[in-house]
Amino acid sequence: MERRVSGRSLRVGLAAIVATAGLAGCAGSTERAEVQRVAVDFVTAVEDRNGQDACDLLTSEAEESVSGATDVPCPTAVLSIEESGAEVHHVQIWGDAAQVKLGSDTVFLRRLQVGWQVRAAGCHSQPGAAYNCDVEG
Amino acid sequence: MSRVGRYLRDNGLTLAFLGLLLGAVIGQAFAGVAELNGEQRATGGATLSVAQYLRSSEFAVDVAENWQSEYLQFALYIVATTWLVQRGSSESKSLGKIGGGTDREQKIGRYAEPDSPAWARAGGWRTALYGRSLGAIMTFFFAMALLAQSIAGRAAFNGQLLNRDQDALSWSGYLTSADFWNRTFQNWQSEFLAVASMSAFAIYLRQRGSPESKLVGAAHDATAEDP
Repeated sequence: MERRVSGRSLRVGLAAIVATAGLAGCAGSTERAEVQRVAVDFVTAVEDRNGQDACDLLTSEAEESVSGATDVPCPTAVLSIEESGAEVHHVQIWGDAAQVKLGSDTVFLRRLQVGWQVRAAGCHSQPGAAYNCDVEG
Repeated sequence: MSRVGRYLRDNGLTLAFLGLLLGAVIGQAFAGVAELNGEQRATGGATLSVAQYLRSSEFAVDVAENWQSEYLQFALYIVATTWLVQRGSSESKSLGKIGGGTDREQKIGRYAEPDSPAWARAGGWRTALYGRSLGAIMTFFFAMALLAQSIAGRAAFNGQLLNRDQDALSWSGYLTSADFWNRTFQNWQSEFLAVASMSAFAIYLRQRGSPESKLVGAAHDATAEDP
């Protein structure tokens, strides 16, 4: 008798783990829309030469990295990223990280307490290595 | 003794370990979310509640990778002890009884007793299947937990990849990744160590009253079923 009880409990537990595992990688449509909106707003702001709006969408580390060792403020420096269009080709969200491919750019985002923000932008793929990004935090 | 008291006594081993399992999972949940939130705070990331953490890939992969290795350990041990023996170990049957045994020894088919399970008496495929059901169910749970590990592990690892400016992996790509096999082997090696240790220690050491041990006064070279 105890084996049947134990077996049922284990089956339920395993089913729960498999279900959790399956759900773990799924992002809700609201989250997907939010990630996409932030990426599009960032690229559009850069294209429209609206540096301050673009910088407001960056994580603080990314904002610092834009200027690098120079004295050029973020709203000016961020405009050096080359963008061409904000048509979204691809969105991936895994946990607190996201990747959006739009126009000619690949943008990486991270979910912070304040919501999704751009962590890296102006990224170009390199074979066998991490993306090379103009802005990265 | 009351019915409840009798039930608790009769099922004490299973119930105690299910209770320990629950306690350990709760402990893991709180410790795990504390660790994750510590990392998130250090890097400005969003923190999770315990409920959110319980639904996260990080929690799921940590649970699944341990579960699969435990079921693998038992599946292998159950099957391996049919064919492999260890002189003097209470974990082994006697040296002369290697293999599945005769129908008479196993009390199956026409040798079944009145209280034998129906499928032990049935003969044919049902008896053949029932005679392997313990190893089969452990193998099934191992496979399911390994599948869960691969799904949750991929989700957790892809989060790390995206945070390192790298593309996410497909499920098949994750199955050949170092992360998947590092998690897997690190759990497997500990299970194999535990089995080897138990098999060897049980030759020379005793635990009075435990069915996992020989009698305290039994000879070192006497295996479990030796007279």
